[in-house]
Amino acid sequence: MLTAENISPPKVKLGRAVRGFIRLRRNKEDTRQVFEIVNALAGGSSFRAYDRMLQSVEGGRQAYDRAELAPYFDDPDWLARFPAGTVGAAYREFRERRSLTADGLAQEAHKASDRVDDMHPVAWYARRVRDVHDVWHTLAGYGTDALGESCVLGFTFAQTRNPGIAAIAFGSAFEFSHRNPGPPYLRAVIEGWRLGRAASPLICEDYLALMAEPLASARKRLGLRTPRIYLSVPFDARETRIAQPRRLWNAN
Amino acid sequence: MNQIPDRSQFAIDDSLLTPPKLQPLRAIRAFAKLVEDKEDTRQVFEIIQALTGDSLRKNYYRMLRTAKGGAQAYSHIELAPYFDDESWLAQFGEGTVGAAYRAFRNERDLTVEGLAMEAAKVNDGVEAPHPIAWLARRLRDTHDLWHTLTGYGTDALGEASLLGFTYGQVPNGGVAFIAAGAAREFRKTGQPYPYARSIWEGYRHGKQAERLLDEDYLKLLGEPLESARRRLNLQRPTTYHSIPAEYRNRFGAAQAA
Repeated sequence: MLTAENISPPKVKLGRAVRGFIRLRRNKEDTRQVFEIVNALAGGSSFRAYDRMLQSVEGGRQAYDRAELAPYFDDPDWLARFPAGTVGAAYREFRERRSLTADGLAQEAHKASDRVDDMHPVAWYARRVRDVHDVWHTLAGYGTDALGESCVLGFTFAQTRNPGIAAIAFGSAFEFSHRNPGPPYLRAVIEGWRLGRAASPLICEDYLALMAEPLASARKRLGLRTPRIYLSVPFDARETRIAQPRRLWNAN
Repeated sequence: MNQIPDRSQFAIDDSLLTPPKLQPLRAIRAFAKLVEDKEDTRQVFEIIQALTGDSLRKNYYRMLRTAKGGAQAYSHIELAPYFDDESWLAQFGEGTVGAAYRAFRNERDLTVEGLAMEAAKVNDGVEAPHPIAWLARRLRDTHDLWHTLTGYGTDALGEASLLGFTYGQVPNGGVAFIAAGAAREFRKTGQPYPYARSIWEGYRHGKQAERLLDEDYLKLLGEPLESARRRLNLQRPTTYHSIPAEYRNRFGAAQAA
């Protein structure tokens, strides 16, 4: 007999996802909506992904140690120690160029749901996916332009199997193609998904050790290949004009 | 006390990653040895290891389905260093769970470490830095505390009834096998006492009670025993207590003669 608060597998909330999409289309920088969509469509995928993590030696070890990564990643002194050529150095530059912080992303995630801060193994897993997002940009070689984000999400979907992430990745790819027919947006995102499938499970990595590894050898070890289709899209076409709101109805 | 001891020297065994196959023959062999010498605790772990299948994993995810159990899994506290620290155990006042647990251990000269050594003879994968291994350790380390909470002694019937209780709490094929096998051995003694019913009572009480696994044990030890039993809905095992103490330890045909 269970009288403690039950945590039932979250239900899929389509309405909430659609609302998130509409807001994200208006403003691609509204990262909170990404978390709204992901949470609305996640269902039991985080539970299942955590379970997959426990089925590997390194994943089980990481889950047992359950390090919280954001405090490390946001510590400039800690980040400063990685010499040029390492994953840590590439990540540092990536963040500095765009003035990103793991905490900034965490704040957006928190706006969408405070469950992510729970003292719970599956919440820990969700935090981990969130905190390593920019490391995955660095490792996979995608920029933070609109297309780069979509491709990382295609990659992330392959790794986490969270349907909310797929919805954003492919939804935005269709949106780009709709606005700017020509560049292979959809193919670039599919490529991200395929590269994510081919790579080893990055979530199981020991990130504190990985940061000190040379970037090139880490990519090789993890089976990360160059995203050719993404790189073939010219710079200015990677940033589509999605930020400009398109009127859905006539305002008079 | 260090809550997260270094476990890096322990390898993560395959049985933690993919559910191990059931080995009924191994279980039957081990049970025969257990009937010969009921103090041979190692055989208990043999049987559980042989029949556990996917049960640890399932029980772990059951734990994650409550906020309370999830918080315990997240804290992944290791209990053995606390329970085996005499000065730590000494802090609990009369009438608390901790005091009853201390008395129970002292009377019988039990340690968590002793049980851990027996378990390690069968499979030292249980010490691995892995959440499923952590759950296995938690079950092992709290076994004697469950004796205290439920009121079962360490005589053969008390152990068998507690395994019934354990099965009600944490379904596991190995535990069920030992409890059912014990009921059969008790019947062979030919004594007119309701042994099997006592084991079944343990199972029913285990099902009725709150999930002990989800408890914050360090806090629980400071709670008055009687109020803890009420809160956790632990019933008094009346069938067990109805059997005279000197008949609770008869086990198997050999001892019946």
